[in-house]
Amino acid sequence: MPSESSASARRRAEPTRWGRWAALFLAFTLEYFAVAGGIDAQLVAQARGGWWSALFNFELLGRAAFLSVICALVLLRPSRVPLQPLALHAERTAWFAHALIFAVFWAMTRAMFRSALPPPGPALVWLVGWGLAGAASAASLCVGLLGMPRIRPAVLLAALGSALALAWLMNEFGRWTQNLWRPFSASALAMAAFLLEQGFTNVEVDATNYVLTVDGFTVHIAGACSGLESMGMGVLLTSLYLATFRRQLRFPRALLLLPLALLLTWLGNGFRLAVMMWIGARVDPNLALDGFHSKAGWALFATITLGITYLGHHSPWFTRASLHTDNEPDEQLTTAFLLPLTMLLAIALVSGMVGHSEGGGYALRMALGVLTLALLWKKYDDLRWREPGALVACTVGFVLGLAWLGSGWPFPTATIDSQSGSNALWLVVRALGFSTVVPLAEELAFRGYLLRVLQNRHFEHVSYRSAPWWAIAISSLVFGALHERWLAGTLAGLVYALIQIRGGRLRDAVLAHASTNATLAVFALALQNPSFFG
Amino acid sequence: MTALKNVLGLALAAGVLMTSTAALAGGRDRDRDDDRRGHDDGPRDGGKKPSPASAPELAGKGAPAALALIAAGAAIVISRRRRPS
Repeated sequence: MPSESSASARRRAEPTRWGRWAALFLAFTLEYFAVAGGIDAQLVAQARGGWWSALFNFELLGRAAFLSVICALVLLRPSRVPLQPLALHAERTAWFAHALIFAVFWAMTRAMFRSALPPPGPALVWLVGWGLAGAASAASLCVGLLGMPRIRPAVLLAALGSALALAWLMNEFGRWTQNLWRPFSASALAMAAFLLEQGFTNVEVDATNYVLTVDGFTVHIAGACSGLESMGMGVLLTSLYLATFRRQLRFPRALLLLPLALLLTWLGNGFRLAVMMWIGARVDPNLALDGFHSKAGWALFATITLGITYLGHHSPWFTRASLHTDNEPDEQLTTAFLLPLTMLLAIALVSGMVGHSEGGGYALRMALGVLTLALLWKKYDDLRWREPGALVACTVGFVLGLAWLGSGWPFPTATIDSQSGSNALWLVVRALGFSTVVPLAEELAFRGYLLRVLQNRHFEHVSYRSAPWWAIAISSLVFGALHERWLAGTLAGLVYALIQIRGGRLRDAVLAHASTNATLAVFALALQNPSFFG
Repeated sequence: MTALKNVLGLALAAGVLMTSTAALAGGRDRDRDDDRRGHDDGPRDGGKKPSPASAPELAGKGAPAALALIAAGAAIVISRRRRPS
């Protein structure tokens, strides 16, 4: 009979390392923002002078350091550098050490930058100590999560040096791209004006101030409306796709997907602006500005990104055929676990775009959610509804609902507005959907799929009964990010993951989540206050 | 040759990552600069103030939902492999 340690070693040898690397990226990003947020190094450096002046460009230096670490991680990723996993006690020691070192680093950063007055003592000592604490914090984080790299020091230094040079080079290039905001605003303005001139006679263009007017409806095409952000994200996502599927795609022709994504995003942005102007001039200015302009941007971006992915993955010109001739279980189950949430999110985006995210839009979202779940119901064998343990899960969910309510005290007031569809009938429809369809779709996606796919690409083989802490943390954080109160959402996700692991059943997470939402829905109905649904 | 390809590939990936990061951060810096200069202040066109056509929700609550939609949709698309014809 295998011992606990050998079972643990086997589990640790499973292909979970990429999930740990994802956790490392996430942890670095969170810690970077925790340290860099809320300080103004330029002000401090200017006020103090001397050695402190070296930190005048701290924001730039901090960004460069962050990017260097990311580059180093890419260069040292597991497929290139063998790593020696730590024993459990050593891993815990490394984590404890990291927590202490990071706390010191964070406190030193606050002491050095929060006030115009310098901390007591020589500036050079503070600066050197601060730099060492930052480096030790990053190193202990890497070792705690990944283990010790089995790599010669010279190679490690070369990789770190290359990463630094790469980070500097690309940071400079990134800064240069800032010159593109105004030209792209101008091109978006010109394209929208050109399209509008095909149907309107009264189109006024103020190219100097980036202002466009149609039939008295006036907008300012700001930098964020130039489409450049979407193009940057489009390049990023397409590059990630190309890198991930590099063995399957046909190069160099697959690289054409990059300019194609850029072109479609640029054209789509001009079209979006033209449609927004048309809505503002002919339909409703509030609809154009309140919902359409941002929601349409996201809907367009999602459509283009997914369209490029589909084209790359299924066009014989871009990709080689799979050697597998039958549908594999993971293909079918990925769709079954993710489609309900995808449907809910897509309908929410589209209905928000046309100004009907509540009322009829919400009812349509729930109806299509139910239909999707019904069509895929036979795939959900994992739910095992009739097994015992339901009462415990429901009780946990109910208590969590009360805690959620308590943490939001005092409750926000909301009025029932029949104009926006927030009437009593809508509250009932929303309460039903909120307590049934939403928890089922979310648990299938976050605990059924994400929590398990982080551990193994073939997630259908991963047990519900156990999960490493980093997978629980990532899935809970992503779940929390989708909620208005992200911290409460993250903690709730954590509880749902733990209740699932306790019973070894996805159903327990679904029941707990449904109970939480039902508790909130009862309060919403009783007090006629839709803000409880947030 | 393989090592060179790997380095070039990584450089491209890292470069795109950093360029996008810098562009996203820098764009907001630029907008803040515009705000400080009063770029969008004051009425124009006979007293009508231009409406901002920027997308404030890009980093707001709409962004996580839209990114989740893209991630879930992409996971579905890439889970289905192309069959030999």
